[in-house]
Amino acid sequence: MSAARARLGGLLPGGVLLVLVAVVVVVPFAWVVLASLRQTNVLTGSFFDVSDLGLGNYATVLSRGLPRALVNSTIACLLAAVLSVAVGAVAAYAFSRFTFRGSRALFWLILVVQVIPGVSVVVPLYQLWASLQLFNSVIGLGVAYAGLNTAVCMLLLKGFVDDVPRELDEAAAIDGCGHVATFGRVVLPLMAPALTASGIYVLVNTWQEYVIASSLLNDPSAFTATVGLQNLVGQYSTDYGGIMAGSVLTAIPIIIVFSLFQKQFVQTVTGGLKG
Amino acid sequence: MSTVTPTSAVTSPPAPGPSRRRGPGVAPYVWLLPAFALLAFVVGYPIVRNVVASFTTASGGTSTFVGFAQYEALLSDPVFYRSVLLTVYWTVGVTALQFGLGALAALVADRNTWFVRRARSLLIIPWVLPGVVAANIWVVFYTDRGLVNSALSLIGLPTQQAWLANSDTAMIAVIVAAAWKGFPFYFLLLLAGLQSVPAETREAARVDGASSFQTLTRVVLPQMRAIITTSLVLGVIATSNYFDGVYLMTQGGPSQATLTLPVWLYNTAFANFDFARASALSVVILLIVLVPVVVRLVLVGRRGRA
Repeated sequence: MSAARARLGGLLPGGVLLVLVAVVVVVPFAWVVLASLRQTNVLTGSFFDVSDLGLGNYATVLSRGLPRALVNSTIACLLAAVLSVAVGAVAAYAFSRFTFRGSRALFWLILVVQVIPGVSVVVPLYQLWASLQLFNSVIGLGVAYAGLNTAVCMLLLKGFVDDVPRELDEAAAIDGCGHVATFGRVVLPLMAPALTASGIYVLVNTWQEYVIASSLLNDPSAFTATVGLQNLVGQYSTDYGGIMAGSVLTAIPIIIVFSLFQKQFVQTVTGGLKG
Repeated sequence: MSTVTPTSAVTSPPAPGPSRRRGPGVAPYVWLLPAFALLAFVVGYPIVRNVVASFTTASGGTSTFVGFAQYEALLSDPVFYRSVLLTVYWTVGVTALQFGLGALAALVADRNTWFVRRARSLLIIPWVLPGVVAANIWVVFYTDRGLVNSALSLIGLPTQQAWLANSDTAMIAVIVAAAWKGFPFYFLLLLAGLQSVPAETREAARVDGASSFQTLTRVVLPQMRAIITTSLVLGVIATSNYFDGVYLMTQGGPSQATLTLPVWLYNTAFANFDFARASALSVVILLIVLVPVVVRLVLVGRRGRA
C-alpha cells in the first residue's frame, strides 16, 4: 500500500509537469509555428493539416523592414547592456570598497530608482529626447535603455563585488596597486561571469521593451523589432500568417541567447533576489 | 521590467576598505559619477521635468502655471477611479494566476532528472518572449476561430466568443494572457526557494512521520516566507505598471474595459497629446509605486539599525 503510494507520489508530479509543459508551452508554440507556415487558412486549418505549408509569410515580413528592425534592436540592446554593466560595475566597486559620507543615502536612492516603472518616465523622456535630437535615434534609445537598467545592474553587481575576498585587494595593494589597478586587474577579471550574467539580463529585458521604444521612435528605419512588429500588425491586421511569422522571427534571437546563457540568467534573477 | 532587492545590502553598512588606505576623499564620488550621471540624465531629470510640467497647462506651444489644477481635474474625473479599480482588478488577477501557476510548476519541477531539467527550460520561455510577440500570439488565440475556442470545443464547451472584442470578457482574457507570459518569474523564484531548504530538514520531517503535504506546509513553506514576500512585492509593482500586454491587445478597450492606469497614461499622452495631464498622471503613478517602497525601506532600515 505505502509502496504503491510512494510510486504514485513520484509519478503524479511528473505527470502534472508533462501536462503543464504541453499545455503552456508546446501546444501554443507548435500552433504559432504552424500558423506562420500556412499559406492559406491560417486560423481555420486543422492542427494536423500540413498540406499547404511554406515560407511565404516569412518572405513577406522579411521584405517589410523586419531585418532592419532586428539590427536596430541588436544595436540598442547591446549598447544598453555594455553601458549599464560598465557604469554599474564601477559604482558597485565604490559601494563595496569605499566608506564615505552619504553612501547609505545614495545606495537607497538606487534601490528606489530601480522600481521606477518605465511607463512613468515615458512622457518627459519623449520630450527631452525630442529637444536633444535623440528622437528617432537607435543610439539614443540605447542610452535610455542603459539608464533605465543601470540601477538593477549596480545592485546585481554589488553582490558579486562583495563576494570577491578583500584579502585579494590587500595583496594587490601590497604589490603597489591603487584602486584603479585593483579594480581592473583583480576584481574585474574575477567578476567576468557576473558581468556576462548582468549583460544577458539587460539584453533579455530590453529586447522585450515596447513602450519606451514606441514613443522615442516614429521613423520606420529606426524601429526596433518590437515596434516594427507592432507596426506590421497595425498595417496588416488580418494577415495572421504574417503576424505569426514576424512574431517567430522577433522571438528567435532572444530565445537563442537565453538558451545559451540560461544558467547565468536564472542565477542572476534568483541570486539577485535572494541578495 | 523585473527588479531586484538585495535585502542584505540594505541592512549592512558597507564594510570598511583595507586599512592601509586612509580617508578616501573624493575618490568614491568619482567612481559613482558615471552611474549617477546616467541615472540623472535618463531618470532624474525627466522626473523633475515631469513634476514641473504637471503644474502647467500647455496650449499652442506656451505653458502656463496652473497650480494643482491638473491634479484636481484628474481627481474629479470618474475615469480615474474606474481606472484605479481596473488596475487593482488586473494586478490581483494576474498576480493570483501567476503565483498559482508558478507555485504548481515549482512544486512538480523540484527534482533533478533529465526530463525535469528540460521541462524547466521550456517553462521559462514565455517569460523571455517579447511582450509584443506574446500579445500578438494571444490576439490570434482569442479570435472567434482561434486556439482558445478550439481548445474549449475539444473539452465540450463549444463557443464562438471573440474574447477581446467583448467588454465583459476582455479583461479576463488579457489577465490570462499576462499570467501565461509572467508566471515563470514566480516559478523560478519559488523553485530556488524550495531548493534552498536543506534535504536533511525534509528527511527529518519524513522520519518523524509527516506526510509530504505536512512537510510542505509546516516545514518547507515557513522557511520560504522571505522569498515569497519579496517575489510578491516585486511582482505586484511590475504587474500594476505593466503596459505592453494590455495596450497591444486592446488599447484599453473595448469601451475602456481594460483601461489600466499605464494604458490611460499612454493614451492621454500619445493619442490625445495632453502632455500636461499625462505628466500629472505619471506623478500619481510614481507616487503609488514609490510610497510603499520608501516605507518598506525605512522600516527595514530601522530594523537593521536597532
